[in-house]
Amino acid sequence: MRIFGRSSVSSVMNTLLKTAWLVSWIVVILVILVGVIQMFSPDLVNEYYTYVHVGVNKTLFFFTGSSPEPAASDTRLVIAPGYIRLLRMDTDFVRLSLVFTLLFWVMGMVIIQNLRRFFTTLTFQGSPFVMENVRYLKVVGYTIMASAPIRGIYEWLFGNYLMRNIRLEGAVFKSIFSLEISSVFLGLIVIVMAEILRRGIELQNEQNLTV
Amino acid sequence: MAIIVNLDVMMAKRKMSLTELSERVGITMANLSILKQSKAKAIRFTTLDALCRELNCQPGDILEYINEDRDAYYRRR
Repeated sequence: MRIFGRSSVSSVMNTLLKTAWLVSWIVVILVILVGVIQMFSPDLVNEYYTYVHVGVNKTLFFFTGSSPEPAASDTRLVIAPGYIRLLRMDTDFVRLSLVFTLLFWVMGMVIIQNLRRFFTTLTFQGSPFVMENVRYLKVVGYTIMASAPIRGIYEWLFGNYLMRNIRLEGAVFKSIFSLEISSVFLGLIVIVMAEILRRGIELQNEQNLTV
Repeated sequence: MAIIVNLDVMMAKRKMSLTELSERVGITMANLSILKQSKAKAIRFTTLDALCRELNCQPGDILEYINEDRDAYYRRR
């Protein structure tokens, strides 16, 4: 199984990433179109957005008050991933969601673009020891790391919004901000791999200039 | 600080071309050219041994240490 060069694993990855790049551009254009339509026809978009998938998969709230029934203090309410149907979403929050959706999608596109360039050098230059690859991997690493606090902020904002729509007598909900440590960790790993590649390039250059 | 490679001087003394020397020593002309221009980062003892054998000289005849910047030395020469 060849890893570098044409007709190799790298070339397959290159093709897949090119496709993902094209698809991501189509999605961005669609999201922008939806945003523009929403500005002129808020009700139309409200109806659409009641079925938007919300990728919430962690604790958003914790229960701080007392309910009519005895309840354990500091009970956490877990929102499972899936579709949340909100009957009434105000226009401001729809716009905010669109902005964040676009931001996340752009970050994803930055990752796809840099990975695509990385695999292009692997395919057509046949070697990973190219200085540009270090830059591509570092951009991917930093973008992954940056997505963690942004996602935390969005979920905190979304939690605050849900709080205004959920009522439980005697209960007080509080939205919390959480940082996705796995993204930070993954980003750091990619950055370290980029530095290891840089060291490899230095060694390769020394080897090339050893007579 | 720089190590200067006086390969062209020894080649001229022995009246040997780059092509002939590369064939005798067994390294490519490209690598020999890198060595001749003092752009090499390192030289293997096997290569140095082969050069001294074919040029009938000592390592000190090929390699010279100068206490100034290599580029400044070449500009002065």
